[in-house]
Amino acid sequence: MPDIDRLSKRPGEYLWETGVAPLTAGLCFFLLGASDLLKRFLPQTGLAQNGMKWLAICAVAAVFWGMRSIKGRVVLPRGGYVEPWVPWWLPLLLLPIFLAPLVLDYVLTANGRPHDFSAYLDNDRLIVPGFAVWFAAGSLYEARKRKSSPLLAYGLYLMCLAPLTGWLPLSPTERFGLLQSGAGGPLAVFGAMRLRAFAKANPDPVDLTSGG
Amino acid sequence: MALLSGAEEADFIFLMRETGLTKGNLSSHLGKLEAAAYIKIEKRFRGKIPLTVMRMTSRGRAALKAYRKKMKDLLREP
Repeated sequence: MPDIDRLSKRPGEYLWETGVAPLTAGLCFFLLGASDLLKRFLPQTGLAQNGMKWLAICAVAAVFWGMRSIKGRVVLPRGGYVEPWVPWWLPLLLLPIFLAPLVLDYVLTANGRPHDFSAYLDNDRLIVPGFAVWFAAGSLYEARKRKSSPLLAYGLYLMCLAPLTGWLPLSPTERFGLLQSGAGGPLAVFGAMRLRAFAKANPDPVDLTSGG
Repeated sequence: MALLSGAEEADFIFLMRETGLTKGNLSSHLGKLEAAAYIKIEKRFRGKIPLTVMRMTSRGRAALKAYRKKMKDLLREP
């Protein structure tokens, strides 16, 4: 008897295998994290700090738009088109989680000055490394379950990154930015390599017909 | 059916690639599933390329759920 649970996960796994999913997630994490780190070098004015934040959000939107285009032009003609099924309640659950920090940030910076979140988290160097360890443990667990050596290497890398996010003299926001960009960068590179390998292994049928 | 249950929609190439079935065999399976109203087949164009997209209906999802439950119950029986 076929494993129904396993088969129902294939559409999501397929996009992961083509490199589209890790490339999208990695670039988004990297851009958001890098924007937090770059704020340190900008003038401490509302315009510069909020401008960088909105620039990062626009860049993330551009990544989603670009990946949609790559998916349509590179991946789908080669390996087939599929849209993973998303339960109707999932966007309703995720939307408030994504919007809440933006609304909170908007309310706190309403007077035009950037708000220093580090005031709430001062002297606490465990939150971000703890989060990194949790993320690393999740990667290692998945690596063991799927017997995936790249995921195992990624989990070990995150384990090494965790103490660094606590040790470096950074503000909590910058620590989180370091974790995001540090986790996203390798993921994006891995996704790009996967996408390249997928495109090489599966020639475009249009090229094949025009060539023959 | 199991493959389509994890997808909002999927095209013929994806299903052929994942199931390992031939064009004719897969067409025959899909035709029967469409006749039972378990899936909906839609013909579209992506640019100039024709695209046959399959989508599972709510009736299909309910049938698969019932099948899974039946199989689990059977396997649990001593």
